[in-house]
Amino acid sequence: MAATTSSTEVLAQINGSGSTWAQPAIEQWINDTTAQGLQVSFNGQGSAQGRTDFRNDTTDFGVSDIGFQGFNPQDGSNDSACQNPPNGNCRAFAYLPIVAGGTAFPYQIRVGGNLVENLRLSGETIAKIFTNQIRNWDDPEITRDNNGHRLPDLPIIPVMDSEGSGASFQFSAYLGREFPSIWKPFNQGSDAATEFFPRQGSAIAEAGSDGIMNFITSAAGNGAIGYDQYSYPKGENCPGCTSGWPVALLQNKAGFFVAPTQYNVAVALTKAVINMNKSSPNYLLQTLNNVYTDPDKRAYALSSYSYMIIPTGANDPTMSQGKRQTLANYIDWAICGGQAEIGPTGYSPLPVNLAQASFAQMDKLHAADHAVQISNLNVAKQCHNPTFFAGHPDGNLLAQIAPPPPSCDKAGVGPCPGETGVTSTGNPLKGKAPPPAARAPGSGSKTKAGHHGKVLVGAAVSVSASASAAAAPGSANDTAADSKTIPSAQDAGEGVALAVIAGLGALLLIAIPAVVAGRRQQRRAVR
Amino acid sequence: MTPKRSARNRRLASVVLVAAVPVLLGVTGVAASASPVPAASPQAAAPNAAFTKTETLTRTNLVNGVNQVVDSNTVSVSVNQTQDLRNRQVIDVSWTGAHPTGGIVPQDTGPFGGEQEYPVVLMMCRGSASATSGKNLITPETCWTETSPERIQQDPGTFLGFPPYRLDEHASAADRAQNVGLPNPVPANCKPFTVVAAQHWVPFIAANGTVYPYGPGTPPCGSAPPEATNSESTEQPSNTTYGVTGTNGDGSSRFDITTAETNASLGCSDTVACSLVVIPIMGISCDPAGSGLPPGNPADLLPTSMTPPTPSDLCESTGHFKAGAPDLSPSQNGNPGFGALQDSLAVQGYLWWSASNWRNRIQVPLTFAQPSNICSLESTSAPLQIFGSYYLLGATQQWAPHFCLNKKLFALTHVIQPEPEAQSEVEQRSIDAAFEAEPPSSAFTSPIVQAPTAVSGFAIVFDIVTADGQQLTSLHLDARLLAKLLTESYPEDTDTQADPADRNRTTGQMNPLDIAFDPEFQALNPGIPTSIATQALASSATLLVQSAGSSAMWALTSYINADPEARAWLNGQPDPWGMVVNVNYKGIQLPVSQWPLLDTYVPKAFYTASPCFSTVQNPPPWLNQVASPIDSLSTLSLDMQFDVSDSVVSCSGGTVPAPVPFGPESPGATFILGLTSLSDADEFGLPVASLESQGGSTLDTQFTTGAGRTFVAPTDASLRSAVAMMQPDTGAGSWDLPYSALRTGAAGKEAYPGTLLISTDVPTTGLKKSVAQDYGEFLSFAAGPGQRAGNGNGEVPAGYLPMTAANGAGKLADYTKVAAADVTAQNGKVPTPGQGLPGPATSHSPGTSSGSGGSSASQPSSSASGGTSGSPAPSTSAPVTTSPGQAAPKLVPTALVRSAIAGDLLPLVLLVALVIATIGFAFWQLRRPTVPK
Repeated sequence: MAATTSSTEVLAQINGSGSTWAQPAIEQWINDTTAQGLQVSFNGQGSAQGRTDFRNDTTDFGVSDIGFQGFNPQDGSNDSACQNPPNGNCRAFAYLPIVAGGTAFPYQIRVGGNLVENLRLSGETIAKIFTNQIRNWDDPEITRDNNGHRLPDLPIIPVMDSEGSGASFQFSAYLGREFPSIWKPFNQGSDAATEFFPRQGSAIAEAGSDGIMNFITSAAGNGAIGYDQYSYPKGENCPGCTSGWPVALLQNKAGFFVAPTQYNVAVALTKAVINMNKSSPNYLLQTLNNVYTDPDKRAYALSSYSYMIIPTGANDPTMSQGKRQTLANYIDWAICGGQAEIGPTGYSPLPVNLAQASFAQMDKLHAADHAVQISNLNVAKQCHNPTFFAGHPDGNLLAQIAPPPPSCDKAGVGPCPGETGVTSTGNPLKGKAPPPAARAPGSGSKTKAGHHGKVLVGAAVSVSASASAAAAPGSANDTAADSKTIPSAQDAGEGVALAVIAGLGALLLIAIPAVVAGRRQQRRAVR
Repeated sequence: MTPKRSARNRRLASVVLVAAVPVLLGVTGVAASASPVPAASPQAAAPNAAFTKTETLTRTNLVNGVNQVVDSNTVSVSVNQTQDLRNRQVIDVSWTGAHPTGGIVPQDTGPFGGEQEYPVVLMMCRGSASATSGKNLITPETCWTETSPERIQQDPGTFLGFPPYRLDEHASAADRAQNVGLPNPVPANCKPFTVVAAQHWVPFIAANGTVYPYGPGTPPCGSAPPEATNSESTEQPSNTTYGVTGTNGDGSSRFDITTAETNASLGCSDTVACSLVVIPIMGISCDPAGSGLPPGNPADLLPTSMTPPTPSDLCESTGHFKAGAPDLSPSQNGNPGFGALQDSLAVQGYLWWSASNWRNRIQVPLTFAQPSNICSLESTSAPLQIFGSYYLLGATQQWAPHFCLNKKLFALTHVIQPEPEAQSEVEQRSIDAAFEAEPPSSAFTSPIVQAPTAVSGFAIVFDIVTADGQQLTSLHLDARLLAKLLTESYPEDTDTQADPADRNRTTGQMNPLDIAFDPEFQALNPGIPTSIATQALASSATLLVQSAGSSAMWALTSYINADPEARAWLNGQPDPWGMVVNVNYKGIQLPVSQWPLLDTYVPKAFYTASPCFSTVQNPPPWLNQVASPIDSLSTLSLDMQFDVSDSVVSCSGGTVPAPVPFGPESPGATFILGLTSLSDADEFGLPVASLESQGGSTLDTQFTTGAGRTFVAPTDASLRSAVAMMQPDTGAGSWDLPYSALRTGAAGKEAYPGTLLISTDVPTTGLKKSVAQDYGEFLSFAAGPGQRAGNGNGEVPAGYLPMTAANGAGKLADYTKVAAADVTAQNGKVPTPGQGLPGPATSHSPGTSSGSGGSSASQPSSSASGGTSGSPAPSTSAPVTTSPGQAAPKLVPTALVRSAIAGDLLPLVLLVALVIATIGFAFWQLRRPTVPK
């Protein structure tokens, strides 16, 4: 079998660069295939850099959340595969969808030092937040999204990616399509999407996914909200939270606020229009307009695919038989077995028809060099792809079995306590989505010391943010209000009482040292 | 040696592309040029080397038929590991007695390294070290180089057609001809390049017999192996190394092993013999009269009347540079014959293949592990997925083939996920199984076993260049120093250091700028200059850690928390020199699984001057930018290997400047510390710090040496000592390392504090029968056959202590065997750790379930303290060469700082908060709602 790394195959190390949105999945597959003898390295520097490196023959493959945007003779900007545009020194390539997922909105809002965990936002509110029209968390529009529950008076700090990123592009494409009247004036009159999200006013730009998450989770990040692939906030430790660092539940066209789980993403992407014209340069690229407006109440609107760009020329300057074979074997795993493992980490697997289309694209490596062996896998039978169900090669089982959002996460109702909006992230069990993450009071694994408490929007009414203890040591929050003490189903009034107490404790921690400050002797520094 | 800079620094290329000229954010200007390598410190050959050999090497000059000795050196070479090597494994090579190197270039590999004078060349060659003839004979043609200048010499006329290798008295007449080694026919592409006065080609013969001529030009005009490249790109590793020898004759280098998995053309494997060839370059032994040149051809007659320097003069040259001097403008095309330094070639590394140098080679036999690339990429059965700890990856990559190769078993897939996330999802039943090393403090709410699976540890890895330009190999850290790094208490820049508004000092003095300036660090690690740390900037003020939750952070902060010095310091007690904790971290409750970024200080003057922040209303706190933890542990390990600083302290160019990571540190000026796995540290050859186990209790008294403190390196013996101390936690159903006992008991003295017990969490209810059987099979394997040390399939590599009775871990393995049965049976049971388990008898009585956990029932370690180094001795005799001029950019005059929170009030504050919280809790309990809103 070709995909087996056998002694007859010539292999070589390959190197790629690009999307940090897809990076955790890419790295997982590298780990998997290292055990199988492949040498693959990947450098996450953003999709824009990935396409640039590919054009310049610096890499053997690129990963980008969007396709090449082309050469613009007006301003000379070149985002094509040609080093001398429009037609000079062009590198032949093909796109392959490799992973799907949702762009999430991680945030930090503290009430009495505790993290709010069940924030809900409409697309319009998000548009206004990231264009500096809504500047405070107590804004009436945010209160409306949360069914009348007002957040504290706390300035909003939008966080954007300073690197050219596909996440910025997907987010701005959504804004430009759905909220042009908000986006255009902010984007210098253009409704076009951009990989370089403009930073203005109170917003800050941080380098890549790491930088964004580091700021949002830091003590200085109280009030911050950013955008990032879901696996990043999901992997951040948030003791007591059901599913990683809190992300805003995004309102869909059906009026429900949902999270970017592999199920909700799968539902929305059934509305993606994929270019299936094999002769088109944009073959397999996505048009997401209908994803944004999917009327399914489970759909997560900011869902998209990410792509690998592979060199297909027979005389490609960096490719050799060994490199093509390594690339083919790596893709083989990524598209096949690799899809089954990424859902629980925050992605959504490719549906079978796209997986098959990606396999077909791989044949171009064989066309470039017939010594390269390409397996003819039966995706349905051999890949254990969780999207597959018999008789529906174009369907997506995850979309079929995706659990509906709880009724309390509908506009005008709720909000639901806790993160019940994050329904289920695990792979299907016995043909069904696993039950929603239930958090029983006192349940075990997350009750260690040293973490912050949390609080729910429903409990935030009338709690002043002045007691925010973001700058206080972790001990303040932990001592005052361990998350263990906040059950998942609680009355708002109880939460208020607890939050007030927590705030009081935190105030004490701040106030008492301040009183005694200044009483110590000053000494000169040694150096 | 200069730190190794191979061409495969992935981030290097991209960082350069992203920000062609990153501007330092800081207002402090720092000269980042590589400093030349001065005298190396005396360095003893490694005592436990797998290979050592000593040879006396001589350079001569043939005068009137008599050899006169020009230079003679007795060179000893040591290699730390030669057997059972894996692809990409890094081995240490060191030598003494070699000719000091001159003309030093920053990168000691690839097309530049060869231009150095008197390097020690390290290369992999196919063939057996013992073969004297036949197909296993090692020749220059079977030796790997990445670039053509390392194989091809051309004289455009500079040497009048007689470059030094043609006057090599040891070369055969045929090898001294005008044109040697050219392919026949000459490839059409090469013809324009072959019209020269003289040339010598060394083709490469691949494992499959293909002959690659390389050829001049970039890329080579002739064919080259696909693994070769001529560009400074992210392609194949160039492991051919031109190691630098210090002025005292000593040197060392880390060498990357590449097997057929990466380099099929060279083809080294468990069935194809290869060797490491070490060639201390002595220079050409000359036949200045040309008496051995091929007879009969007028073109081979040495000219008689010439203006100096004659070819003979150039052959006899002892070099252009002084020993230790840098070569500031290496000829980047790597064709030295075209360059100006004619008097350099005779002693350059480029002539490694010449007879005079080749005969001096030392051949080190190597053997290789069976490659792990034998798993099918897909199988007909569903893969068995286990999510979680990166710290087990080294083991699972070798375990996977054991399962995939047995048709009755399954495809094991280890999906990397932060341990707390994986653990939580097992409990939620989102996933079936998780690897973690962070036992919950209370039991799972449903029956889930935490079955011990492997013993490993975290590693504080470092790359620090010392005053003599050598890489530091030994570092001693105590818990307080680690706490200082994590709590962002080193101000890093002078504005932050001097600013009184935020620091809240109790002592009125400024904290040291970075760890190198810290008297505590200097006491434990004498001889490390502050100038290097200053050049390295931010990375010397922080510890690079993973941003997501991790068991390793939980273990590290447990260790810190149990240390009286560190804990007191975190609570506000200044260290004996007056350094205090960053007020934002004061009193922080530990342990934590994810290190929080709590600093809020924004250096206003500094930011106003920075193009990145001058227009930003809410600039991020500076010290969080310095810390900048990253999500990917594999990236973290690579960054440590290549000295890439992730601190986001540089400013991109362009119209919209934005903060970007600092990127690669300058060669010769690296000072970087990070937290990763023992397994990665071993695989990538990263030096690991020894951690203080016991002895430190100095809250007030300054000290100048590590006397009285015990520092423990991660070794089998020190991991064994830690395993012996592990206690059953009957409540949580886990085995824990008692960190407080580690600090006090006799056994704790020899235990490595970074030891991790990695467990597999699997439910014993609700799994499908066949799946449950597979997990049971996996656990049974992990509890027995999987615990063999080695680099083969089904074994655990270095970095893991086999979890066996012989290592005192029988109690753990036995527990896992019982757990495996419960998982297979799906009987809803969870065995209680430490309580009379059925199963094989062990030589170690299980611990008791007293629950006190305070005292250790461990037995003394059987080792002769192999893991402890006692009080640290200075690792180098070189003086501290702190240059005021170099350190100046970071220094400011002393200044007053404001006073701080009174640390002694903290317990009171905590108590008050606790009382309030308790009341709140009781209040809530009494009024617990029954109907959610």
